Amino acid sequence: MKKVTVFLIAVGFAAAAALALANQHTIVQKGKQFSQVSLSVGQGDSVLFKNDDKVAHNLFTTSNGYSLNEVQKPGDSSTVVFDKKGTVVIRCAIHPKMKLTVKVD
Amino acid sequence: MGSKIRFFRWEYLWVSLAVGIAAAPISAWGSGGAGKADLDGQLNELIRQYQRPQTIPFPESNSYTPERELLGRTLFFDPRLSGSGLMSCATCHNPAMAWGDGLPRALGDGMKALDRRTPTILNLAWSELLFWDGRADSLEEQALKPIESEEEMNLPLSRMLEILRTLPGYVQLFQEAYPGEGINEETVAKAIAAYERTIVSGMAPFDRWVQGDDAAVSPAAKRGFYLFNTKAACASCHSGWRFTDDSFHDIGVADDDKGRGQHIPVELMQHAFKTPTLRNVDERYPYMHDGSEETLLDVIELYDRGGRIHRSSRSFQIRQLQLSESEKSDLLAFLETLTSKDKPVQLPALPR
Repeated sequence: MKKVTVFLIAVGFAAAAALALANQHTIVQKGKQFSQVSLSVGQGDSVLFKNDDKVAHNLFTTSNGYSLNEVQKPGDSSTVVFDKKGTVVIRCAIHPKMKLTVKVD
Repeated sequence: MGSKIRFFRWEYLWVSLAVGIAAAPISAWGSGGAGKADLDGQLNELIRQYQRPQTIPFPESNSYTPERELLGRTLFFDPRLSGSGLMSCATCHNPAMAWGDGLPRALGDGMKALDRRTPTILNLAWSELLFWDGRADSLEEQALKPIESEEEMNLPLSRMLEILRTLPGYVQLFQEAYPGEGINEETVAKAIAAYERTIVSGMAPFDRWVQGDDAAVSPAAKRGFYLFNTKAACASCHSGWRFTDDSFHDIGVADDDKGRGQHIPVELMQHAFKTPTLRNVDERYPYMHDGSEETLLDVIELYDRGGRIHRSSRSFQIRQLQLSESEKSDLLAFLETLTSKDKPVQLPALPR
């Protein structure tokens, strides 16, 4: 499994404490769809993206200061950490009808 | 939820009749004998994925009305929406040519060849990210770009609005379509988009087969459809009743056009173009974004070879297919069943 840190997590006790409380969520890609169209996460939470499809996908966003460009072949998984508040719209670059809005509180 | 309109053509009654009726057993499509029942079962399963929708989706922000369709159709066929006064949207998107122009590359202002072929505008109500490179998010965003493009219709939008506002017929049409909103860039774009959403390919032999008419397509076409979904893997992208999932791929067309890669910094999007619909495809030659393939058999050859050129951006799904000549012929027979005999489009009377 690959781990992608989208935004550098600040070091220090505060950040470490936040990370310790972070939750992990899972989004599955199947049938050229994300398993959810929207997701609310806490700051510092991570999301595991699993490609359970028969085709490759390419997670992509440049929204709200995030930078994500991750190719996923069938069977691949990637973890994305959301450590900046705001709304992030993630699309598959290959199949742009696949759209996921992540709200980070 | 967006608004929807029902299809008004008689042939769409077939769609309603098909609801609730299990697909009829498919017979006489292959060689028969052992395993035929299993193959029939697989075909029945596959064709369920290709049912036509019963309604056209419209966004809430630009819901359907007959007045909007009429205004949009009037604008679409009006050559005064070009700098030369000679080009309308329909000059390239010609309804008599399956909403294309039949040219390898579109001709723009001054008859200069553009870089890409005119795509059909069939069935765009269900699409997202318009143009070959997906640079417009919606039909409303797309509609004005060719008008103002210096290479295409070459009419500044300020001049377009001056022309429309001086024609009383248009003032009335806009008032009826978008009461109180006036004639502005937004209402022009919305009207053209509203009309474009009504441009839907009609019932083809394939649709009649999907709805249970076993004799609507030939055994060769049925074999081709099976190949399309299995060995040839065309349905990986050309899926659903429109025969496209609106995805972007570098399929190995040998030109330097970056396509989607001009707008998104992703390696797989370099030389990638939008997957086009295959509806009425045998009427829409030549093919590919650059018109580089003359016939459908040429296109099948391209895929069979795994593309004409191999680059790092090439889609993972493009590979050599090892199709036999009879399999290519069957695929072609299937593709020819996707063409509908649509009624001629009624031209609008342009305000003078």
